[in-house]
Amino acid sequence: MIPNLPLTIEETRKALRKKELTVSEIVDSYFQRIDKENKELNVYLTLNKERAYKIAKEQDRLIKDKKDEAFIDKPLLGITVAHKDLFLTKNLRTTAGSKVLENFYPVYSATLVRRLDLAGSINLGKTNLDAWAHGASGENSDFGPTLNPWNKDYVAGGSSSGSAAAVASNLALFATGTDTGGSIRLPANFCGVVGLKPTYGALSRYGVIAMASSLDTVGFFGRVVKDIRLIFDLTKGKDGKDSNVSESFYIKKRPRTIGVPKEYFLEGIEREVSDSVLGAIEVFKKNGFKIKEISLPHTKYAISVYYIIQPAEVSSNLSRYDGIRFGKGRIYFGSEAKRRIILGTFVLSSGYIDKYYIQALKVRKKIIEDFDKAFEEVDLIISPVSPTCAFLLGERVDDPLKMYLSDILTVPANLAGIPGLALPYGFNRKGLPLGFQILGPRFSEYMLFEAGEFFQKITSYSPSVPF
Amino acid sequence: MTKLLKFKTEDILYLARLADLDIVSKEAKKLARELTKIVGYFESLKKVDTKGIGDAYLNPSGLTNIAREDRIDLFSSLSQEEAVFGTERIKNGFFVSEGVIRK
Repeated sequence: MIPNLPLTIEETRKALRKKELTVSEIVDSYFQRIDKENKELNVYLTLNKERAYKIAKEQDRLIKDKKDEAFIDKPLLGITVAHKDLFLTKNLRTTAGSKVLENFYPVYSATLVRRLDLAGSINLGKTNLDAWAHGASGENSDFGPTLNPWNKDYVAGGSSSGSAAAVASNLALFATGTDTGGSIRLPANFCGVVGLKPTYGALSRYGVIAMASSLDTVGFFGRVVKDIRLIFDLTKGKDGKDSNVSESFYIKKRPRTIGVPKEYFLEGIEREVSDSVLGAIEVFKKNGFKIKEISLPHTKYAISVYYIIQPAEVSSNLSRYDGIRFGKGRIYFGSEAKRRIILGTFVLSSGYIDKYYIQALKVRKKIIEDFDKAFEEVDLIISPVSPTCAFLLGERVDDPLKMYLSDILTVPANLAGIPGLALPYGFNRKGLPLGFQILGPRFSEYMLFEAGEFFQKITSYSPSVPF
Repeated sequence: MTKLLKFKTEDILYLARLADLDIVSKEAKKLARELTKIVGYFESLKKVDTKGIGDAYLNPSGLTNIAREDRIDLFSSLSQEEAVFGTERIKNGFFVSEGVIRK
């Protein structure tokens, strides 16, 4: 086993080029780590061992034959990835974290999985999640919660719990996730890694199990922004199968002004969380960024809007699981899925649709207007990701409304379809990660990367792993 | 002030039937309590002035009427064998479903 596995794409590439490591050694080391840690952390639901070893061997041969040229065709050679178990992987079990799909083996792979395969990344396995991506803690998985690698009494955050924890504990170099209301940014924040939720329509969702289609986005977890940028470049754009994807013109100017929305620093935010964000703001300010207070007045309605629109779409998307063509029957739905199906069915039902669903759609437009107005004044927005750090396992499971409120600072970006980048920044007194998110207008990913890379450089960020 | 909506066990059982979910009455009782609280939280939305907003529907991508070329993508198409791969209940290469029409 390699004692110190490389933690970034650049380090891995360097080691492979210098022949300090082989891809087979890397893959073997990861599986040894996984065999040791996974039983307790519950990060992976299914491993892809046999195929990963086979691909590693092929890649070693390729590197031997083509040398540096091998990396031109396949920029992710030797880079391990963990896929959230919501991404279809051909012939590899895909459960969505639900007993309904416990026996489901897809016959095709998601576009993102295929593009990453083609780029050379090695799929180590499928990661745990809140069943159907319904949750903020990872505790709604039908296969047990993922534990936070920094302190195993705490949740990893959800719904992409296993993917965030896999990167944090280096059981994969990077991971895929989905973000419908914060499911990438929140666990990235709780686990101390970088998480990108792209613009709605930047990446194809083909082959990703749908949760709420007007909000769903797919994205990534990594340790440094630079890696996220490369992976985004390799996977973005049309595939002809997700009609929401466009080859839009990306904003590529250098960000200079950062807005601080006063509505995101209200009571209920833990002191250590707001201190960390204020610290980050100070870093930007000291280094030439202009900081401006802004207002997003409809933020307080975001949770209501989200928890009407999202369950409405969930109830529709989950209606396809009938156990006839694949998977098991509806009787296997867990309690959170049932709660959302019932809630969604209610807000769409005759007599209530205008009061709840239609009103929520209208207020969603107000929230979008807030952001549009704000981005006339500032290039980017900075805010906390969650009002608290990772919370204790079991702390919120008996109070669904309290659990829903964990998403209060992440859902507005999904309602508006704008991108967000969660960055780690320090630890609290208990040793749990702190951090912040930066949001930008639609298709401003490169501004986010610019600001994120600048921040990691100026703070001399070097990724660490708890064990 | 309007009275807050209070869900009854029967309401939940009715919604469950619409959504084709099997829910026992003990579960329905708990859900009624939870939904009363959650839907109560939504009340504040009433306060937002949305009069100026015409069409409520939107697509967050800003795109409209996207259609693809009408051609068969052989690479993405599944064979009949692949299509029924996920189930054990197959007859003559077809899915077997529950009866819809009862005598």
